Amino acid sequence: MGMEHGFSTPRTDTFPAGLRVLVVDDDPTWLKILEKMLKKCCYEVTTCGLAREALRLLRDRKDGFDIVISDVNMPDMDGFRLLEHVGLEMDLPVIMMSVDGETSRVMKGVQHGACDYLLKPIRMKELKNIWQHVLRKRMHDVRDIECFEDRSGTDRSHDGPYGVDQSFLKKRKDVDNEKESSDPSSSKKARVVWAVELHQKFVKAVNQLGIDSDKIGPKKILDLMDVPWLTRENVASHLQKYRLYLSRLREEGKLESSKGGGMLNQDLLSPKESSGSFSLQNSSFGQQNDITSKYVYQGTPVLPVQTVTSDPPENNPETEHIIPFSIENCASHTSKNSQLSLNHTYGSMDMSKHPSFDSPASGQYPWNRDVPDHLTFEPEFKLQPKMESCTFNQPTVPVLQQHISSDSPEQHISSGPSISKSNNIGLIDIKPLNVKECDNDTRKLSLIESPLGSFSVSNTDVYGSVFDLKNNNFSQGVDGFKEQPLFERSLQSIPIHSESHHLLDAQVLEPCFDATMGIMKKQISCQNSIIDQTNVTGSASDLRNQVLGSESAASGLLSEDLMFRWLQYGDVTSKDFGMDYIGYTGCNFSDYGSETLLPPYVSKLDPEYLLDWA
Amino acid sequence: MERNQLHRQVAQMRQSFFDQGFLDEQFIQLEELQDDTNPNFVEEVATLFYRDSGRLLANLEQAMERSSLDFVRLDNIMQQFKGSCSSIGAKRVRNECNQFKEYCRAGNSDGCMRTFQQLKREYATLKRKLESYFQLVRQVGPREMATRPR
Repeated sequence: MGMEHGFSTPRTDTFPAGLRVLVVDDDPTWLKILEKMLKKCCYEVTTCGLAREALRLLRDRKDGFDIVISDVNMPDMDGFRLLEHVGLEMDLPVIMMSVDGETSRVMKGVQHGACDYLLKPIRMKELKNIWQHVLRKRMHDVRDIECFEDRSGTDRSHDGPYGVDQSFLKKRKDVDNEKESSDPSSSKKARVVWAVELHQKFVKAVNQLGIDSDKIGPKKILDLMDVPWLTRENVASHLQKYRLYLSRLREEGKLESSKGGGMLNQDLLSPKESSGSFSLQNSSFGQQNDITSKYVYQGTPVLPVQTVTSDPPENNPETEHIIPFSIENCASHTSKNSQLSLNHTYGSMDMSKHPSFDSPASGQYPWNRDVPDHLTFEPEFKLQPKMESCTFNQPTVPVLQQHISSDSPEQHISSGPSISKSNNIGLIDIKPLNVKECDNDTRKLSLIESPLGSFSVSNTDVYGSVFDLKNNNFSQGVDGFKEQPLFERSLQSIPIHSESHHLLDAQVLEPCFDATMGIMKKQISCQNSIIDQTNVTGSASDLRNQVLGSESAASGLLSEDLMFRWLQYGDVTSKDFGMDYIGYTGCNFSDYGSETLLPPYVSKLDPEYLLDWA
Repeated sequence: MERNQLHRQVAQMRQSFFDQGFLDEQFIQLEELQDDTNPNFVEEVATLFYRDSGRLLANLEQAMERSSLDFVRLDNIMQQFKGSCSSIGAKRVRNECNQFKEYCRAGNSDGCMRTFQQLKREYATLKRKLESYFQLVRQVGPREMATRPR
């Protein structure tokens, strides 16, 4: 598959020529044909053979594509799931393709938000018209902006209750200003950025009304949310996506039902998602709801987050700010399936770390991988190596410690309280990453998604604590994480459900390490401990084993999907990622059962992989 | 002239593909995509098709060897195989795929096995034909193959 390198900007002068299309299909023959066909339409084509790769590309190049065309049957991820992700995260028009034209499938596509469903073999004329979907969407977005303008009035500069919104507003304002041109195709694509805080409000409102009640409606939600510039349409479309998301989670949440509270999404959820599942169970957990919707990040404090002392002072305020966790919430969770809560908290933690909400450029979703960006609340953020280490304090409430290292290369490890034992607390393993080598732009914090939540980890040396949910085993991240990777060091999220075979293991591989390859290398070298997936549960030693000794910065809980992906992907080697760091040896794909742990694959890819909650 | 003869041969062979139902409109689409930047486009696609579908066929073969067939799995692989066939316009093979999927849904092992054998035959025939076709085409020169059939 040919993948373009380099970021392209939309060509609006000769629209639709130059339309930036991302084609995703596991069939190489079709990929070649489609590429050729699209080129003949004078579009700018990028091809991709795997869904997760596609998500990575999309996340890497925010605003780098205008439209996505994807096959429905993909080995690593269901096409519909990819569709959901793209819709929620990037809000791009997605066209589905399949050789199967069954009405039920087509309907499913449309319900999931596909703007079109093409049957293979695809004809040129069908492709020639795809630009209409892009245009339509842009016009719709522009209309949103207009509404916003009308409503917000002078509130733009008001620093509302959420700091995030401030920057968001700013962004919107910029967009509005740009929107002078009458050519809709050239207007900056202005989408409502469902920043973490915004989403939290949404979820809160939804929960208040009751997601399943028939009383719920966009208008009511809008009223509850009390966000002046938001339109009913924004809420309506967001609600639709949220519902889809929830229903999918419910279907897949086998564990939930059995566990009662610990819902672990087998999928590799984005921080949001994991928490989402969590929220399903814990209604008390305000944020939870958010989580389910993939917006894990919650602004409301859930758990007290302790930043590691080593954290650079400047970061501390942020972290504290970011990760407010209320202890009560945690406590409640711990009693039940704390996993969920953990997920949740973790998720939020993560998000807080790099919420992208405040950075306009970062895209629309808080779970943006570029953590550094998000860490700061300013619109422009630079990637900073952030290391987050989350440790949970077990006794009562898991305390998340987040270290966000700003520019200092060394990562500080959260030496915070190690999590002693959490009763079934999901563990998150956040390891501060050594960012020293990362350059801001490339370095991304990989979000580790795990049922617990996602944490972003920088790709530098990552070490963190690994908690064994089941076994209440926690290994604390160490201060000296710089050194070689121990299990603990690696970020791994330990799969929380022991009972279920779904171990989501933990290693969340956060692929995104563009930077610090070198570090990654080092880190990866330690990985060899591939977790014995089959034994999921929990003995501490299992956990340890599970924790891939990958130093890789990115580790996260890999959901089943991810595992599948890995499986499909075959042996992931450094060559695949262009990184030679992978001293990945112990990856035994053969051990993958459907729900086994993924090998500690550290890829240089961004954490999108992991975040890929599809 | 020999060249003319070759041309004719190629044209005839090509036409027979359509007349005999081996290939459909998709093949023509591929031919239309061929241009100066990709003078051997159709052949390249065909090569990719052989490779990808060959792999899937091997998977099918393996799955078919089991004493009790896993219809769900077979259906899934067949879906991919069918997708691959549609890329090149392999009409006959695709029909067999549909038949096979029907039997899978019905849980009919015998039907599956019989259809599978037929499918393999059709597939092999097509492969052979295409290979000779492209050999001829190369002799003639790809640019000369711009004609539209029908």
